Amino acid sequence: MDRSGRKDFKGSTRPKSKNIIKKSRNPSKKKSKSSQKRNIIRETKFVTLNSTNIQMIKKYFTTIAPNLYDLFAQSNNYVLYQFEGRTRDVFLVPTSMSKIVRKLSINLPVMHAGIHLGYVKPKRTHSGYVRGFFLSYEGGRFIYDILINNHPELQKDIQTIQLNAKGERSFLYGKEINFEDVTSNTSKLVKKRIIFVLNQNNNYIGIALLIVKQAGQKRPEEPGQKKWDVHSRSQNFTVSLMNLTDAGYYLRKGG
Amino acid sequence: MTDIKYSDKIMELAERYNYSPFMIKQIMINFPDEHSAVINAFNRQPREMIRVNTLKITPKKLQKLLENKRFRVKPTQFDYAFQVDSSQTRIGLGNTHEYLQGFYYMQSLASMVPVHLLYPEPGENILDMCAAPGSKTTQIGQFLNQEGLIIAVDNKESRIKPLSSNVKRMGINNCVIFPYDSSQLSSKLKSIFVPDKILLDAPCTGSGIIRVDPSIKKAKNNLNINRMVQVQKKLLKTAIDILKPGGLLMYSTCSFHYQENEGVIADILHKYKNIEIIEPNEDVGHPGFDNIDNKIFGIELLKTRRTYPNRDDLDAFFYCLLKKRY
Repeated sequence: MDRSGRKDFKGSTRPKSKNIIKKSRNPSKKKSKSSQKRNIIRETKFVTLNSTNIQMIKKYFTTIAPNLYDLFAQSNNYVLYQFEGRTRDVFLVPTSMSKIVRKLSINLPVMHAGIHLGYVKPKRTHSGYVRGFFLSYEGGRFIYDILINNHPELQKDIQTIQLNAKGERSFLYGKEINFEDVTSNTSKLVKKRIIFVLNQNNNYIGIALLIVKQAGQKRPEEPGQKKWDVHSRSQNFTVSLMNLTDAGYYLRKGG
Repeated sequence: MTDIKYSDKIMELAERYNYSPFMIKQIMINFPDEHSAVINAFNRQPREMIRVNTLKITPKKLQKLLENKRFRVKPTQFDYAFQVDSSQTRIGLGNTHEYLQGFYYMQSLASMVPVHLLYPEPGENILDMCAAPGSKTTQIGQFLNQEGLIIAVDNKESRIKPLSSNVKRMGINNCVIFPYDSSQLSSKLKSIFVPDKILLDAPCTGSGIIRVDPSIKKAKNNLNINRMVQVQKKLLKTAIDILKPGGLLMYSTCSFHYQENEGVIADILHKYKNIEIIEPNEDVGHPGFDNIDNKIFGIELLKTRRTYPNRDDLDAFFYCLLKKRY
């Protein structure tokens, strides 16, 4: 495996190309597209997370609870790994497994180890696309369970909402949450911070985000395009609870 | 190609039950005294079974939750598995919130037996050589209770996604997954990972799961069996090579053909003198064949186990627990 790669995205070292097409022995013969596709060898990597991505996750964790990242760092129970292939997935690998995972990943195409924490993928912002971290359903579940079971002192820092049966059903279809379906108090919810969504039995079913939009605000159609239109000075706001991920994705995308 | 002549009886049964004559002949060879009962049993619908994920919920609690949704839940011989009747409800077992939360896995009872007999214990290193889509991998995870390590391998990259998805859904945190040809693993794993126990749920013709996939009635021939036997022997040799001395290896298939089962094991026992068959402690299934179709495998093979669709109302599986001597 060629490990001498170019430097991109703030200093991370990556292989020169993910898709390497096998060179044909006879270059004069043209191969069909389908046969070329068959010969593609996807080179994947399973490596410890670089400092840039660690910073990204650290920043994301502050949107869940202020001292959450330090909690994980101090416990020294987990090592952050990332899978680099068609997707970029972040995994929390228990320290006891980490040594074996590191050795295995040298010669074998490891794709999954430990707990799937989330993805690193492009995120649309006002100024275009930047790489961002997104918490996965399992990552949310893992963090929620740890906070509830092992760190009750941090429970006051996290945001949770409870849904009724109708809200749960709608949320599991990947839809936004209606405030009428929330049975817990929503007055203290803060925007731009992760909200853990629970069902009637207090089981974790996903994560959401409080979005406050000014009336007349539109989604930019292209990256970099201004978000505001002529109504931007309006004092009317619309508040919604956006579905970030939910358990229903196992049926929608689970494989 | 040479045309094989089948007897009138075989042709008649094949026509009546919509089988290929080859498969009828194989059923007659493998179930000589009860072939009619087996053919009838293969026509029955399989029962819906679930395995409770004891990492997340107790069987009692899950039973209550499902009964609230008008599922009829009956106990089975395993305390973590239920037979579920969903005729009283419009919800499918694969669509409930409990399923999405990873409280259970839909898996036939016969498919739960290999891990049950292997009995992984917390802290052990387990290798699952043909892991996708993850039914047995997640069962191993349940037995390990998040202590120890599971390495789950499958040779098709396209099958890794459902495997990974199931491992995530069931909340297994101590599993490493990668796509690789398991028969080539020994050199890659040897200095890094020595498994205490190996599960080899080998690729097979699938003739034992006709109830689940009726297309098998006509799809298989001798060539399929011979091809599978080669793959199975290759995988078994690798498994023996990697296994820790004193370790256990569970070889299982969902096929009733003796060639893929007793035939493969007899060949391995002949070649490897440091391997012995262990008789399972649990009262599961019936002894394998020591001789069949004018072939003598030896009395040792009676320690292997088979499940029968007519006697046990299970798919026709084969199980063999092997031990590598020190």
